[in-house]
Amino acid sequence: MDNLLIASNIILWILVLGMALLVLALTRQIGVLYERVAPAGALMINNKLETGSVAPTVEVQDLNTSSPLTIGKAGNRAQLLFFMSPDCPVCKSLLPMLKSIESAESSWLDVILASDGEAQAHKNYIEQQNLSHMAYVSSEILGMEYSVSKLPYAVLIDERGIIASLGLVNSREHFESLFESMERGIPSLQAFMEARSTPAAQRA
Amino acid sequence: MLVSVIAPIGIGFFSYLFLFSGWHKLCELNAFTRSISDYELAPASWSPALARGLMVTEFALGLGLLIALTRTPALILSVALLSVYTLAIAINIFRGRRDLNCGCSGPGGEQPIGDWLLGRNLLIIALGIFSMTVLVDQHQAVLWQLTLPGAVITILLYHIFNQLHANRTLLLRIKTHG
Repeated sequence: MDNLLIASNIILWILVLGMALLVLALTRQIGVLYERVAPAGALMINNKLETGSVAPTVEVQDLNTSSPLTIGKAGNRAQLLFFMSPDCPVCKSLLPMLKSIESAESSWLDVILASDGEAQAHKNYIEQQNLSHMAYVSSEILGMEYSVSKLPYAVLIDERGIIASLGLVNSREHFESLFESMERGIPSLQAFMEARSTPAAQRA
Repeated sequence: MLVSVIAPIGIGFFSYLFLFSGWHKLCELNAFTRSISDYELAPASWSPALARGLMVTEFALGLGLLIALTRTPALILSVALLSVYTLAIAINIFRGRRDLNCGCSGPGGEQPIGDWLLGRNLLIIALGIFSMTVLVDQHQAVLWQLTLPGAVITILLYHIFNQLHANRTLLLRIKTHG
């Protein structure tokens, strides 16, 4: 009888551990699901700039080539400004995506990584993340001109030097929404949702 | 009997908690330094030193709890450190800064401070205080065959709680934007 109880106890412990692991896996899967159905548009939180306005022109220096670079200048190519920081984990997770955007859209788009702070920290970051082939600028004025308050933040400037779309970006979908906004001429996901909900509200 | 089972579970859990937390702080020291600054409880210039100090303390406490000789002071200091963290969270909740990142769950698990987090920490502190009761009865044999799976279950419950809290934050974000 004692042996039976011991065996039963061991089996129960194994079952409880298994169930706890299962619950953890399920909660994790729910989390992943929430992440995927989260609003797939870059969140526009800029009180100073808006889409359709002329992008502020700022002269900066590329840390990789040491050559001068003009942000927001009208020309033949569009610019994607990605505001980031070496100590921002979300920014780091988006770097592979930016590398892929840079190579896929190189015919018409320049991807520029923008940050500020200590130069040595950026040089170490460039080396660690293998960013030497990308345009990388460090300028406090640039962040102030584009009114960046939270990171990671992206601004898409078309070839005329006009802000096509901008907002907080946390995923591939958010980046795609920037390009989608540019193509469709919709300022942001919020504007799209608002336009869609207004007729529905009027009907109600 | 109950004390001799639950107390070692608490010690095992506390040891894991601090080693896990210390490891994540080591991996993302810059992010943790920024979290300390965001709490606005100490001058920003102190943040790098505080971040390093807390990371080392957590490792020391995690290891100290595993060694019989240092278990008593390590457990007392663990409860004290967790109480300080909880107080820091409570002060910022009182200030109305509920969007502040906790800075306690490592990379990829940023969670805002709130009542849930406060409740969780108070529960862990209660477990720590209860575990101290084993210190007054060192002669009781530790039933490892019960306490080890018990500690593993507690650790899993801790991660389930954290994941549910992170899910809740994501759900709120969807509701806000949807």
